[in-house]
Amino acid sequence: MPTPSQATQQNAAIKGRLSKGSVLCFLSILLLICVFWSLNSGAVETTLSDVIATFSFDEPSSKSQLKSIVISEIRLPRIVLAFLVGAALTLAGSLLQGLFRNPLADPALIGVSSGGAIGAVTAIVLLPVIAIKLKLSEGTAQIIQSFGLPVLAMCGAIALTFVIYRVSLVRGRTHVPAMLLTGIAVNAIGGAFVGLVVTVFATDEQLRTITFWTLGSLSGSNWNNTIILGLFIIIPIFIALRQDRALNAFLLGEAEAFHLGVNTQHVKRTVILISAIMVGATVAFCGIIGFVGLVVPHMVRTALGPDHKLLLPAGILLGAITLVVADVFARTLLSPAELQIGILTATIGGPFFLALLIRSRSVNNNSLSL
Amino acid sequence: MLRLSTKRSSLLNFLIVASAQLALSNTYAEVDERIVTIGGAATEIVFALGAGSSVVAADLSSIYPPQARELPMVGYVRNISPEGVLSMSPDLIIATGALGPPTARKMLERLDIDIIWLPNLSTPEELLSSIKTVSERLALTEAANALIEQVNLGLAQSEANSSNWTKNIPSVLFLLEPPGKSTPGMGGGLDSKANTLIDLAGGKNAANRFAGFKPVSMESLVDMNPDIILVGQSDRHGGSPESIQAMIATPALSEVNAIKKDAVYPVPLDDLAFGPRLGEVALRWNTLLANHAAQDKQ
Amino acid sequence: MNLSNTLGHLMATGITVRVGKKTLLEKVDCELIPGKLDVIVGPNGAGKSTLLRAITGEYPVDEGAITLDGRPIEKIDNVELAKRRACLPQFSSLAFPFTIREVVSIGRHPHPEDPKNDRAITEAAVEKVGLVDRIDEGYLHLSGGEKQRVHLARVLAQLEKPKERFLLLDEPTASLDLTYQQLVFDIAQEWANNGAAVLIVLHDLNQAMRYAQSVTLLKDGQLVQKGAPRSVLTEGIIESVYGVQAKWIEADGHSLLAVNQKNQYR
Repeated sequence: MPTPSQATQQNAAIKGRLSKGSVLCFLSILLLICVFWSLNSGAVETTLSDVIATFSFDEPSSKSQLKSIVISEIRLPRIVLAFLVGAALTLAGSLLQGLFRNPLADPALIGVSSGGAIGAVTAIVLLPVIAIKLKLSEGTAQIIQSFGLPVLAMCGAIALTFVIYRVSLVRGRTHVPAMLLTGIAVNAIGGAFVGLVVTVFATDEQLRTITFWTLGSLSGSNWNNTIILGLFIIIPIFIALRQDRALNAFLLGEAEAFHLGVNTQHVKRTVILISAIMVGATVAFCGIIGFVGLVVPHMVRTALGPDHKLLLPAGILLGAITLVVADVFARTLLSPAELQIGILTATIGGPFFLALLIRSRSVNNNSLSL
Repeated sequence: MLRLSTKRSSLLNFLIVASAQLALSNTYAEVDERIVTIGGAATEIVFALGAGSSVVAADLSSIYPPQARELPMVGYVRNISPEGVLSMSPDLIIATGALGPPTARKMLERLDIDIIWLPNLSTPEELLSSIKTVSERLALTEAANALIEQVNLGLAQSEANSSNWTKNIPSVLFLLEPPGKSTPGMGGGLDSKANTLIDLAGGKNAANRFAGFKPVSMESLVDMNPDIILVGQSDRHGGSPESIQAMIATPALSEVNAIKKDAVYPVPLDDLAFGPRLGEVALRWNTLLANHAAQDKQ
Repeated sequence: MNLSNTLGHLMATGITVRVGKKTLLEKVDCELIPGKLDVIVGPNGAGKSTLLRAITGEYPVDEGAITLDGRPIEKIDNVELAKRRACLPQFSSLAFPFTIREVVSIGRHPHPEDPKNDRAITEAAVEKVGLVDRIDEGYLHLSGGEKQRVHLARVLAQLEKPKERFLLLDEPTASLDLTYQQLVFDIAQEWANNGAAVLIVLHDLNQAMRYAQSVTLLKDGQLVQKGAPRSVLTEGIIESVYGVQAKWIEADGHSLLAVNQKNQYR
């Protein structure tokens, strides 16, 4: 039992639950500010007026044309990508934490991202081989490779989420050590698979793609990929938001949710599919970016409570903000070079995760709950 | 290609080539352009042509000459930041084919800046044509000719030296890193840059059953039984003196020719860059091989 | 089957549940009748919880039928079912920092959202279990017994009122102290008196004798005896089922089971 002073502190923190509307409004404005800040940050010197000029319909002078291109064609795609990836990873993290009923379930940690990586590497290395064997035309091969990559990544992610789920859920309760150990095992297997494929099958060109992308990067994408990614993220977002009440009930336990009238099979299937789709698509285009799905939902829960009605939409916005901001640092810290975003998220997220673990052990000595 | 008399000692030839190299790098041509070079070989070519003072930024793989390391870095050749390149306000970009990611490549092409795309240099012909291309653009044909001659000198000398090795062509294995207790080594098979270099140095590749760089176990090393082992070294990658020593001391490898005859040599990893020092590199490798071709005759 | 007789009843007939080669329940009948408080007792492994879970529809049965108002339970919409029957589980593992209010209001899930109404019902339920002055405090920092009371409140909030409702409780007093054990039975009786059908799984025979209007005694998945407490919980049956010699002692109208000190455990 906590000491009386600890209890009052925690209770005081809980009393003021902010209203949904004001929080979402605030986060949206914050996001907009960050987007503008990001549009104005980078190796090339720009000012806010350059940013505004880019998006107005006036004819740019030749001098500012370069800056316009930098803003609209180099920075903007990345910002949109950061937005989508941040939202997707946070939402997937929140959903998985609801499914496993544990705040430690992060897509990269428990191995979902590795599943996506296995699928993606398979696509990168094997699809060209298949295209040649089937003697496909250049155009068809291109299309197959463009769509095959995210599709295979998503299949990998879905398959793996299912495996993790079966292994770590025992009689309706999440066995947390099993979940985390499964993650370790899956991540190891994923790494080994990627290593094997890379060593035996990959050409130099493919090797380059794979090596950099395992660290997570927002720089490898173009508008085409961003649009495809957008599809695979925005649609799941809308589906997920409708499950907020059901997920609250689910947190009590699968049996309890059933008694409350929740269609538990449907919820489970939806959550697994949607999280895996979002994570798989993200991994396909940006590699493995870890810890976002762990840290951001935790921050939202700490500030606003675990009610999914607020957690899901606020998490989406805060996740987008987090990654847009992280992207700014990735692009400016080592200017004129760039830091890969996966490195940044790991540097900050890793210690954060350790701190969470340590804190949870002291609050509740029986189990890894927070 | 010039053919030098084989009667001149190889040491003398080596000195001729090396001093010509030094002389060239001290001449700074006046090129009034801001150049960004991406890819070690591209940077080296520009510096070797004497236009080093015009290079305003390079990438992390540009480690030679030492002056290049002092320049602002726009990323590693496989992960270039287009905005970083732009922020250097370049008039000209010279990049090797290794530049990535693909979106960066497309973005750079889309911008209204002169770009020279060099191939991912892996043969002497590619090196020579790259030197010509760059020199034409920078109007440094004189320097280019001298450089080309120097490269050809080294290659020709190497070929001459090894021309009478017909019966005793040494088999050479190049390792990116030596095999250790728990890790295999990485060997250069057919169709790799190491293979080409071994060829230019007059040897034959002991690793002739696979292509590209692949892991090589102790057992396959014994099976290949090379006469000479070359281990790549650099500040951060490749074999260290300790790991090479450990490999030599491994009992399982004691019957391998190269180890029996003490023919394990470290070489700079940079040798694989196929930059303007190619002539010197080929000749140096050739000299290492020559010692053992001669020994075998006795 | 005469449908008018079964209106308002939740009936389980001939329930058989098998898992692999093991039979958890064999041809057990159970009936929840409005206004009655029934108790299921039996030794460990008797199948009490299994029976409860089968009745709620959570556990699929291999043989037998469960009907509500004469309709098979599988054919009734989940949400409609949830509005009429609620189940308080033995343990709850909630690992997220909800407030008491939030946990209880999750019980409103089957009902269409109505913030004002939901709020009032939630508060009433929390008041009923004696936690209303702490309603906005964190759930995670409560003791085991307090958490159970919160879930009881949730279940009450789910059902709203006793009439035409089915309240199922699985060993609800396990982690509660004497005061709150009493509270649970008071609520259960109050609801039964007001028209709810209440079914409680207990392991304490004293409580069963005290509160039950009808007792179902199970052992090893089989129905041993069913009926009024006095006819089921006889000393002879207790000995044959539990392997323990005991005597009922009457004092001031209460019955107390005194267990013999020397027993042979079979």
